[in-house]
Amino acid sequence: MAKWGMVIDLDRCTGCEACVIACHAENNLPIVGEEESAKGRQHNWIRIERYWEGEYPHIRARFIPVLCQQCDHAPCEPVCPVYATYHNPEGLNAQVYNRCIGTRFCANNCPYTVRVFNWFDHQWERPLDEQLNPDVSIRTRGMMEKCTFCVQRIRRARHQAEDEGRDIRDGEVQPACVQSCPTEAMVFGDLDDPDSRASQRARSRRAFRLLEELGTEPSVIYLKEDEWVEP
Amino acid sequence: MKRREFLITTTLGAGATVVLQGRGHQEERLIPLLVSEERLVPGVEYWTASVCRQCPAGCGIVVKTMFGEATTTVDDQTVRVKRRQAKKIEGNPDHPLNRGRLCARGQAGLQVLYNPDRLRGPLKRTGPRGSDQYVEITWEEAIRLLVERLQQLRQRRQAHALVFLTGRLPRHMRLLVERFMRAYGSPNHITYELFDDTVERRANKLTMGREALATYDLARARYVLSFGAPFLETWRSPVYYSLGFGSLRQGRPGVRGKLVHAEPRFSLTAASADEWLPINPGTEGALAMGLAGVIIEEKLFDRAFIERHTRGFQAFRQLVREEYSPEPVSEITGIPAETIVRLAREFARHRPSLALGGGAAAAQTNGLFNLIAIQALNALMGNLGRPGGLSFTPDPPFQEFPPVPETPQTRESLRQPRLDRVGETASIATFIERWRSGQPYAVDTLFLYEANPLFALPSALGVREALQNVPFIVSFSSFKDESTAWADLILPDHTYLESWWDEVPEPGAGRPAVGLAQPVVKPLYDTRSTPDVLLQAARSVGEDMRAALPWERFEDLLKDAYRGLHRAVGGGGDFDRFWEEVLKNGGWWASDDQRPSPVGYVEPQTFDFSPALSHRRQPAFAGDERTYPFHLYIYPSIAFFDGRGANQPWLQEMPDPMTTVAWGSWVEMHPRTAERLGVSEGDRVWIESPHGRIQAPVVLFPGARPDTINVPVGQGHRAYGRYARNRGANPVHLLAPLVEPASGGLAWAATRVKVTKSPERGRLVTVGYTRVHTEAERR
Amino acid sequence: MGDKAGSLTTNMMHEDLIRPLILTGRRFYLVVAVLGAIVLWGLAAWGYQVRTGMGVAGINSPVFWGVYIATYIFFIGISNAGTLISAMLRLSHAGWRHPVTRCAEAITVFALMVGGMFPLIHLGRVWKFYWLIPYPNERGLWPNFHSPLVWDFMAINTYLLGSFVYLYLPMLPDLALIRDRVAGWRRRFYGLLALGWSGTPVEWHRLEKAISILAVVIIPVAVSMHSVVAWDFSVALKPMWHSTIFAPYFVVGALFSGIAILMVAMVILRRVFHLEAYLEPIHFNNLGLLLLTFCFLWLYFTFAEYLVTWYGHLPDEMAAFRFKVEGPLAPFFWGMVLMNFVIPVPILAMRKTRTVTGCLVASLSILVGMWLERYLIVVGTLSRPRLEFAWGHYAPTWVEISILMGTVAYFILLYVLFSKIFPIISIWEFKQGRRLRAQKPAGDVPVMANEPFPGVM
Ligand SMILES: Nc1nc2c(c(=O)[nH]1)N[C@H]1C(S)=C(S)[C@@H](COP(=O)(O)OP(=O)(O)OC[C@H]3O[C@@H](n4cnc5c(=O)[nH]c(N)nc54)[C@H](O)[C@@H]3O)O[C@H]1N2
Ligand SMILES: Nc1nc2c(c(=O)[nH]1)N[C@H]1C(S)=C(S)[C@@H](COP(=O)(O)OP(=O)(O)OC[C@H]3O[C@@H](n4cnc5c(=O)[nH]c(N)nc54)[C@H](O)[C@@H]3O)O[C@H]1N2
Ligand code: SF4
Ligand code: SF4
Ligand code: SF4
Ligand code: SF4
Ligand code: SF4
Repeated sequence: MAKWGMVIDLDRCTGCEACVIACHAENNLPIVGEEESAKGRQHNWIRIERYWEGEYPHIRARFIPVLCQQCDHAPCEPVCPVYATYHNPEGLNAQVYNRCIGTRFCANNCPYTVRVFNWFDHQWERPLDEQLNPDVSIRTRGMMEKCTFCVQRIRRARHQAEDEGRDIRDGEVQPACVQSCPTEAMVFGDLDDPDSRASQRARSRRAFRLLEELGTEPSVIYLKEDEWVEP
Repeated sequence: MKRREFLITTTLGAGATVVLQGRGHQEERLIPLLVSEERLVPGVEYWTASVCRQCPAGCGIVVKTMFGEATTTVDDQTVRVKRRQAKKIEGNPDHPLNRGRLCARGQAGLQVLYNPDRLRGPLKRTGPRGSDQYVEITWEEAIRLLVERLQQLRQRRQAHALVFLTGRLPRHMRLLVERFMRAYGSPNHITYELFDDTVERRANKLTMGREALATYDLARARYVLSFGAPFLETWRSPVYYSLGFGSLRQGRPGVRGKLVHAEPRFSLTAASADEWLPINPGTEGALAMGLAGVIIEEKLFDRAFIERHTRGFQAFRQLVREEYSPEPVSEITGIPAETIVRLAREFARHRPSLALGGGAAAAQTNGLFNLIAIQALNALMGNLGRPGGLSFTPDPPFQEFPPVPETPQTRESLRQPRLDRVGETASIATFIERWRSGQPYAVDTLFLYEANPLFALPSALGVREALQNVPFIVSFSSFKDESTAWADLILPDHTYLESWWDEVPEPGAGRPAVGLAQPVVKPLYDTRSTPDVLLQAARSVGEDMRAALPWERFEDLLKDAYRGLHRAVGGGGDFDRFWEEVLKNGGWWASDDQRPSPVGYVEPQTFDFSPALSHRRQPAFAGDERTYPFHLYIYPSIAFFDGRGANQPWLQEMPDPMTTVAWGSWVEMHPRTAERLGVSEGDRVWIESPHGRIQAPVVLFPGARPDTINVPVGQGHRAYGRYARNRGANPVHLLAPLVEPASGGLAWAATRVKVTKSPERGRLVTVGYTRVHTEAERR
Repeated sequence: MGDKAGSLTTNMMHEDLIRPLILTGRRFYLVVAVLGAIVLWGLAAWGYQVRTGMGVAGINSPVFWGVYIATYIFFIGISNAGTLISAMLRLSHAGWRHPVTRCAEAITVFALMVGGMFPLIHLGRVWKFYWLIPYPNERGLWPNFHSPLVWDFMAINTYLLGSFVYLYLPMLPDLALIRDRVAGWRRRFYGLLALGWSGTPVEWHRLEKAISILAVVIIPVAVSMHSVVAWDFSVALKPMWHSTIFAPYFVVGALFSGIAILMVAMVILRRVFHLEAYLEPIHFNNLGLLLLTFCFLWLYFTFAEYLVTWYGHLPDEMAAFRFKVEGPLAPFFWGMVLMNFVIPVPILAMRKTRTVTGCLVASLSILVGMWLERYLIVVGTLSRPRLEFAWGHYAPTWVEISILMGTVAYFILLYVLFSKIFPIISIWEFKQGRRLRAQKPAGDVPVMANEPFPGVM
């Protein structure tokens, strides 16, 4: 079994949001409109956080794409009363939509605030619905959802590898966000395979994990160097 | 490693509809053309290569299609139909420009195809202009009306009074429109983009002899100084430059390149830079001259290159010595003198180092000078044609078509002056002015294609009056945008995912390449490919036009054009196979190791410094400083570009990365400025220029110059479908009709405004917690 | 003490306590109609929410819980009043407890019934609520016993069951008494409920024994229940939730608001049923002193909680702290301090103001204050998650307010109906207390000494 992980190089990331739209297109994320957006109810499984630093003219903005960190010790999991969110054998924090009764406890207990609740049923104005990805189920009102690491892509790749009697190759699975990223800031792969690109990048001295001190053991690893220093 | 290995050797029949057999899994099928839908296997993904047209960059895409069911309305009855549906757009991993990557707009392309507000068939106006009263007509009638009009105009010997106003069209579509106009006998194919490239082209022409857009090799540079161009967001080729940026920063072990960005606004590009220079608007050239001064003074330039490949260096050295030493430059630009000296040294020492100019630097009345001065920095580093430098990408060797034969009548009308051109310089401003005034002749019939002048041109130019007075307007738009809503005849085009077309990306990826687009799904509605409509009309207008445009369909024209490419690069074999290969790959490009390739790379050989002297100007601004105390800085929105993306809900809902605003317009203001004006975040303000006023809510923006008001372009549509309509404000209408005089480019960064608090309440939707912290909160 | 009570004859007492069950005035119908209308309105709002989606409430990301959960804790808190207080009073042989226990126990049962609705009201898919219940099923799917919500579910149900029994059992002699004094359908009704109580010494003995066992058992159940509610929060990795003292803090708060609601109920019953002779100033005085003690206990816990957060000054914790103390929730925070301490303490501390009215004012103030505390706990923390970009805020919508009002009305309605059907003061216990006092007027006697039991009269 692979141990899936993602490495995001913040020195590359420009905050362009291509990953955000890619995730929308891949995962049937609904458009909630202006009213609901204003209420903090956008369906973004990945969001680009922007933080200001310094004062004009020495102002800086830091971007960090935040998605479900697929924590190995996920605080969202134990609190779910019905096992709708659980850990699967590949180390993914899986969300079983049909099992969820919508307590939103998991969302509260996620230190990264990446869980998205379906406050309503969603509509797609025809023919926008023709775009919907049949590999991903549509969620109805009252269910929790979040980034799945594009599990459907992992499944497709696994089936294909099984059909061909081999292991999944490094780079064969690319979640939609990773696939789109124009700066190649994101790399996805098997962290158990020391030769995977993700593992290689993860070994960088620039690596850190978000809110590491909480002991959540995220599977998303960020890379960041501070400043350019004259070589 | 590619996600999909679709470059698979296959045996293809001669027929156009063939399923490619994947080497791997059957799901990994790539189909070059529309397979008859009954043959699709439900649940299996098929991938078709095409090209993105959400901006002019021309990235290669692959589109996932699957067989699916849809609910649709046929004859007012709701029915379920089974058809191929497009499910996901991804970057074409083999396309050299974007290497599998896409920007947010590229991702959103399916919402063009499946947009609920698409026009579904030809329409004829019935009520007064602008009343939005139309009746549906058949294509037969539509084309008859079109042809009648064209014939009448010719009969009146007024062929030149036909104006074809387009955006920057892709490669062979542009060729078709040009041939069409030539054959018809009108010199007036007029192209414009709000964020156009005339100034850049002119600067390159003057300095390097090529009227083209340069490709900057960020990936192999170690140090990049950029001026004005938000190249990571919207400018020219955002995906290509994002890839380059990623590589500049962390693509090479042990090398971390530096990016320094000078722009009056703290853009996303500035945010990604290691250093931002909040330069005084219009002084980018002066800064470049100042840097050049230090470099020359300290002899840090590439002496060999200067001696062998440049002209006019002595006079240039003289000029920078006399007028551009760090202190005065600091005075002009607002950048401290020490910074200028430091940056010049860094720039010269960490080679390859690259200077990149455009965007706001070009959109000034002295934009040409700015860009020439910036290119001079590249010359000083000897960057022309070097890795980590700049180059020009040649056109692939397409089949040349015989020149359009002239008839006595077309000869006469073609001799009429082009409406947008005075001497060397073509300008959209000139065109609108002449159009409005009817001098030297009146416009009779206007074709609008990928152009929405009512939205994307400053109203101060008088577009509205001009449009009102044209006797006949035909729009080929897929959507009822502002200008289309005024048309007499609407002949809706397919969307780009349903059509044949191709694009040679410019600026390219540094090697010859063309992306070929093919229909990914069957057209959803009763629309027609505009090139096909033009070909059909040409056949009916007259025998001479038929001879000039002999193709039955645009696809045939494309195929003929690619025969030349096949001859030059095909390496033998028959053309049909080559064509299939091109369709499968989504285009053709020289491979990376073919340097020089069979078609050769064109690299600038010489650089002329003298235009820096002859085109030197001070920036001028519209609106006097006392009444209009703020600079207005408009910028293309990362979501909507120049406004064309505003009808796509994914993009509307996408939070702007810098402000996190969604679903609306906003005004960026420095917190101190806001305090001075007595406004806080979310308050609405009026922004008023000598030419108009708009209202929008304030966002406190610590990256705004205190003397500058930033407003994104893209919202403020008054038509264009449910998602775009009556949402936000369009700052383009504030602009003064200023141009860069030598090139004719619109100086959209040169207007001053005043700002007053509006009593009205409105909504500002910010998705993230964005408040700028007070000192107390930082404790 | 107890002079008035001493002068009551048994007949007067029966008259006072049973008459309201039989005679119904217009006022009663009016009250029931008004409350019923509010309940229906709340029900309609809930129906609308179920049908349309949770989005009709003001909750959002990051404030995934709001008024519903705040009110949930509040009701669970006041549910502690009854059974716990009555059990403690029983166990401590507080002599003045007799007129108080029944109306306290009733509060428990109804507050639990109403409070227990909130976890359902706030479920995104309430129609699947039964997945919380551990029932054997062919798929082998069980609830997650690691989840505090499952503990909640168990604890609340246990406490509800216990409290119900604890309310019902001591009512048997009274039910029998009424059965024997009324006619018609009422006789059959009360007869059914009295479970054939005939007042034999064996019955009395068993009853007393059961009550004492229950009183002992119910206390840990009550404490654990509110601790579990506290653990819903403190097991979560959230700033200002992840606190070790939350369980005792919640229990103290529960008793605090519990006593307050009990006093409010007593004042109202006293007025409405003219029970001045039964609920005497002495009761209010004693409960007032208890309440005063809790004011200080509450302040102590609150201070301990906030001091440590402030002193530690961890950025994440401080974000929540500031949001509550000086941010948008500051009016709520300082309102809470005002209502829970500044207003009630002087009133309760001074003998002169520790009157029935004084107690009423202090109690109402505390009820509001404690609701605010619950709101602050829920909303304050949730508005300030660790990643600043995700910060948000929350305001309830009309749906939440309607449901809140509906449930409050429902609670009152249940109480009104109960006091209409059942004697709100335990007749036999009251009599017993009076007799004991009459025998030993100098003070309290051990309860249930080996004396003949008061039979059914
Ligand atoms: N044509 C047709 N339609 C059918 C049926 C049929 O036989 N034929 N059968 C019907 C029946 S009986 C059923 S049960 C339904 C099943 O219908 P669905 O449940 O909608 O379909 P599945 O394909 O089983 O899986 C749903 C999604 O779960 C994703 N997934 C897999 N693992 C995980 C995970 O760990 N976490 C998350 N969040 N997602 C995961 C998959 O990628 C997929 O997108 O279909 C019904 N519809
Ligand atoms: N590999 C794989 N296995 C799976 C699943 C998966 O996704 N992948 N999904 C699982 C799931 S969710 C399900 S529900 C099961 C479904 O597995 P099955 O219950 O085996 O479902 P079907 O394949 O639809 O077969 C039902 C049979 O009933 C017959 N039938 C149809 N109508 C009638 C009728 O009126 N009367 C009778 N007597 N017979 C009738 C059909 O002809 C068919 O032979 O498969 C499970 N197994
Ligand atoms: S697509 Fe890549 S560069 Fe753009 S925001 Fe996402 S991670 Fe950053
Ligand atoms: S990031 Fe949040 S949702 Fe994802 S696994 Fe961790 S705790 Fe759970
Ligand atoms: S919202 Fe759903 S997944 Fe989350 S804890 Fe509740 S039941 Fe579990
Ligand atoms: S991994 Fe997939 S689901 Fe997760 S954010 Fe990326 S695209 Fe969305
Ligand atoms: S840059 Fe973006 S919008 Fe432009 S062509 Fe490329 S993907 Fe499309």
